Amino acid sequence: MEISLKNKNIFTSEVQELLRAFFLVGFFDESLLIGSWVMPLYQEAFGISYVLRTMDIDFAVKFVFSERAEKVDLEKVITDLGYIPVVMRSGIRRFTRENFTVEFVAHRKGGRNNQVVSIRKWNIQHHPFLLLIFFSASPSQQILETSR
Amino acid sequence: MLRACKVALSRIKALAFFHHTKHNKSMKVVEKDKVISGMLRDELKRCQEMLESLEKSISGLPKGAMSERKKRYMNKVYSYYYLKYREGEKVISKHIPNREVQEILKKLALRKKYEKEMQSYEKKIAYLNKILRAGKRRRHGNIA
Repeated sequence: MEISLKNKNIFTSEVQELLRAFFLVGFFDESLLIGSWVMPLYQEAFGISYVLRTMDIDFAVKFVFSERAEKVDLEKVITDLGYIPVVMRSGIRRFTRENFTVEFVAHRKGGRNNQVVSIRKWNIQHHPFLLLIFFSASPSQQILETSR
Repeated sequence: MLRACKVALSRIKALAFFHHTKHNKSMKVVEKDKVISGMLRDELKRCQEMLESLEKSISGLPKGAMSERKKRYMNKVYSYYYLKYREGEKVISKHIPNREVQEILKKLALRKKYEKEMQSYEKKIAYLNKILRAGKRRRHGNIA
């Protein structure tokens, strides 16, 4: 589903710049924004009221069309915005700037394997997360007027 | 005697009244609402994990400041680079070969970034601990 919103100030400036940077490198062709930070969009589009915001932003990587396709160094995109990479105890790499963290997750097909998975095409590591497929089953696509 | 009892009774009532106001009207949201206190605890845990990982990341980076010493020899000026850092009470000056200078400078800049980030997490942890401790103290006060 594609929705178009007129309000350009749904997100805080730091989230807006992050989304814009990801959009420009085509990251949203293969992934989506999930978690509490997607709620402002739903609030604007569907009138769903949701007040809680967390200090971390999650992106679900759903498909990787081809590993052979043009590689994008997403780590560089994020670090160019002033974020610093941090390797967590679990082995996953998060990015942080002024208490705000960026994390990537992907669907875990089954089993109990929680091992961190690397996506070479994007130069990121994601955390396998069970039942994530429900989030990405029918995503809404929002046209960010400011990012085009 | 009766008068003294009346005075004592009125004092007890006044105390009961103050006790009531103190623990209901001025009670903080944190201790009243389990959802909010749960969120704050989650946030505290996230910040502690991040701080721990930042500390681990920073341990692999050099500390100190780079300094340049110039020496003249046979009408030529040569530059030598040193990394100055403190180890306990000692100040150590370590020579850095020219080919490694740029890399060390990059790492020092990165360390500064990590330190700044750690400070922001430490501040946040202190703030969250303060709120959560205050809530706990009040709860214990209620029980007593």
